Amino acid sequence: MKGLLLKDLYNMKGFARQYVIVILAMAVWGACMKNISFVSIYMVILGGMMSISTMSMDENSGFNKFYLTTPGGVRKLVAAKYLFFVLTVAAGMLVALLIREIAMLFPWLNTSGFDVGTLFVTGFILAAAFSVSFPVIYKYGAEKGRYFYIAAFLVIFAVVYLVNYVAHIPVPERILDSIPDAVYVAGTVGSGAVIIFISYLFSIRIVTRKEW
Amino acid sequence: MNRMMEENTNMEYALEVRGLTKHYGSFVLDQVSLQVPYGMVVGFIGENGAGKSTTIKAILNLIHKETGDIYILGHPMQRDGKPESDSAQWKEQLGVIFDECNMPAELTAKEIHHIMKEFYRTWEEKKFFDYLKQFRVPADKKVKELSKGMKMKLSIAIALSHDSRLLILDEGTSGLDPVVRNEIMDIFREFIEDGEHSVLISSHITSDIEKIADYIIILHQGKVVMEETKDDLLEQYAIIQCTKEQMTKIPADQIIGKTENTYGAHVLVKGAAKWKQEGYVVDRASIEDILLYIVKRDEV
Repeated sequence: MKGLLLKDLYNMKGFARQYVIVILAMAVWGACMKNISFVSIYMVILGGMMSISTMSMDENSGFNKFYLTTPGGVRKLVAAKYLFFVLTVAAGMLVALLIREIAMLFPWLNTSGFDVGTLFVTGFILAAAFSVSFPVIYKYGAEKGRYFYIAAFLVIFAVVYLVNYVAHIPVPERILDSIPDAVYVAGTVGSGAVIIFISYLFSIRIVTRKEW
Repeated sequence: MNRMMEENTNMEYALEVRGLTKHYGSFVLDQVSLQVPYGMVVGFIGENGAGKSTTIKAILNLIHKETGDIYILGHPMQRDGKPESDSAQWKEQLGVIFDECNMPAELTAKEIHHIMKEFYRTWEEKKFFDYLKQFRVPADKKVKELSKGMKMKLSIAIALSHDSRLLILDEGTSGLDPVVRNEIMDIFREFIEDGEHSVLISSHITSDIEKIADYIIILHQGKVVMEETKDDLLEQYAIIQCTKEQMTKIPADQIIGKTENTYGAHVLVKGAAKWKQEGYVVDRASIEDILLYIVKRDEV
């Protein structure tokens, strides 16, 4: 498993410069807009996107086919990818928190739309979207997986929109505000873990049946 | 208990395939059986689309076979039929080289070493870097910056740098220039010298096979059509140059393949000495000739 994680990290190292540029550009954009909410959320999304990028690289090089001839096996291959996703999303969340802490040093920046609860809800939405995308990537390839990833996001946002604006079931803000961050964290991490585990089982099944 | 018995009965071959069948649309891999004894290089040849890669993928469990038994180093191959930890031990002893370097483009050979060290308990750092030096593969260059030949040499270095007892090459020498191919063939020869290592090499470069293989298997349209030791093959098979009239005197069941033109005919037969004695002009048949005649025979 360590070897597979190393491989993904080395792969990402090759794109480190691009990622730094993107992060800086987003930070500047956030400063200009005097709002860091989107920038922080984008950091989490960027963390998740790294997994799809590494899957795309594995696919292009035929790495998975090679790996299955080594002492490792299907479970390790798939588990390492999910673990890499969790680690990069966690790293994205840390960067987001760091950005918020830095932003709070500048009173003219608006940090009110971003708190720990928002961060974990973002992480959960990302986990849900990727839980759909990962098995699709293993089955149909990274390109189609990206479409599914976008589609999953659209579905999630559509559901929120339908609930709020079409079905007129608004959740009073004071209820949301009254939920402690700890509940947000526990709820999103717990349900996120369940979704990811179910997705992992699907991926194992797909990779086991796949013909390389 | 059954599995233990099976394993024990299959220890004489590094690789044994019995009755392998697989359908791909109209293509059928039909009851393919082959053996790779220890201490031998087995050449696996056939025209494009003959089923060589499909056979190798089935051997490696990368595709699902429909029927057949496969034993690698005495272990029955089963796709997830047993715990991974069980299969992990013997996979240390398997080196696989595909027709492309399967390492992600952003990695360097040095980084690949760090990764492989985690994949294989028996990984030998010194051996790997010695091979890189010998093959003149730069350790700090990214895979995407290497030429195709360099990439193949990197794959070969990886396969040889752990405790491999069986090497399987699926067109693994394609993209290499003749000098490097020659160098690699010598390495494979050394590899099997102790009688405990084996190589199955699939290639369309029949000259390589002719140089290195002890045993030749010819696959044609999904079937094994010939399997013999290289020496027997080269000694026994011959091409008779004759007129069309002379050709009619050769019994049909002894003609393996033939080509005809305005001036006469060339006939591939078995038993070179016999035909020589009968006064025919007999030429040595190379492995490429044998393959070509077999393919042409079925085209006609």
